[in-house]
Amino acid sequence: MFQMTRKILPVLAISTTIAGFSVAAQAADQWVVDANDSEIEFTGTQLGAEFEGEFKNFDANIVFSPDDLAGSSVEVLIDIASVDTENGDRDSQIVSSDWFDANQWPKATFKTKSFKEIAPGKYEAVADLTIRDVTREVTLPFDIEIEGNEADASGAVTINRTDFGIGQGQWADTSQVGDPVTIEIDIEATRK
Amino acid sequence: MAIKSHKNGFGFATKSLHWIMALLMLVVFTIGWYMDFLPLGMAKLEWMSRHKSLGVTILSLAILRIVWRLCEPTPRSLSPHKLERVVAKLGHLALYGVMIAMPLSGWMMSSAANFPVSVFGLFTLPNLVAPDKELFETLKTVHWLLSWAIVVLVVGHIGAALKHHFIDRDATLRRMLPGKIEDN
Repeated sequence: MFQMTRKILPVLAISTTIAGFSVAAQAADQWVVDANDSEIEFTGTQLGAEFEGEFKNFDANIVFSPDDLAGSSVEVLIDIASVDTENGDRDSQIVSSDWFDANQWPKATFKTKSFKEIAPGKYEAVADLTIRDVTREVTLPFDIEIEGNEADASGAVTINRTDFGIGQGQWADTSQVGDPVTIEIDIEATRK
Repeated sequence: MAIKSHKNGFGFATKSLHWIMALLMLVVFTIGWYMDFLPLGMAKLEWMSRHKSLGVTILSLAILRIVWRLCEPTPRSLSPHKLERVVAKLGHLALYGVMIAMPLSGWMMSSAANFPVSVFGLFTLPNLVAPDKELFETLKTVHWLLSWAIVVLVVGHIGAALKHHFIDRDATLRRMLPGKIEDN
């Protein structure tokens, strides 16, 4: 049955595209993130010097198969309050209303719209990134290694914090807290 | 004026370093206290940035000054009292010590706070210690204690110079002032 499905998949894909349905999503594999071995980190600049931090808690719904990119999708919900830059004062600033305003917008979301293979094991995800009440399209290049039921994906994308309203009022000035912030992901996941 | 010091007077290099560092220490000290009272905002960050950059400048000049001092003769003390000479020696040693320890504790404090030091936006110093909240609190106290140690040492230093000038009426203060080394 599986063999047959594989053979008729291209035909199905065409017909379902025409019909406006997608069965491809069911063909891509579902993955469960290994929270202990996965990280969402970021690098910002303050007073001209780089510093690193991470969001410790996030939920991810990952459906991904290299041979079914059209049916692949990733949605990540990041818990803003779990930010850790190893500096208590800065962490409490980050969640405050001038920055992420975690009370009003406790989660940032990353939701893919499409994937593209750029080389074997290397892909690009076009996704909507929502922080505060601002949604912007970002392109995240990432590498993925799949061995058996284990996958290791890593990638980085640089965004401008002011595009998302991160830093209100006086903090919109980027001279002391730099505009570009690089988000790095390192995700280890197990096939469901 | 000679670049190097000799047995009776200070050279141009040492005099310059002495006065430039005196001015810088006054400026960095003032900024340090001022920024501490500012609420968290752009102004505070701007002053912190200047405080750190100038602090690193002091550290570099202090190293240069110590190396330079080891490479030239030190003018002899003008005090006839042994105790005064010993106290002066200890005072100078302590001043050299805080010139190094103060910026170093600030640099370590920044590292412990995961707040690396950029020098005038030109380059970033490596972190001396890994981020550590407890260590940060300790270093903050050390930095604060050293600031008071500097006040005590500098007041003693100026007081001694004035005593030499107005009471002993010797050339101790005059020979550190700009001018021909022979005049001192």
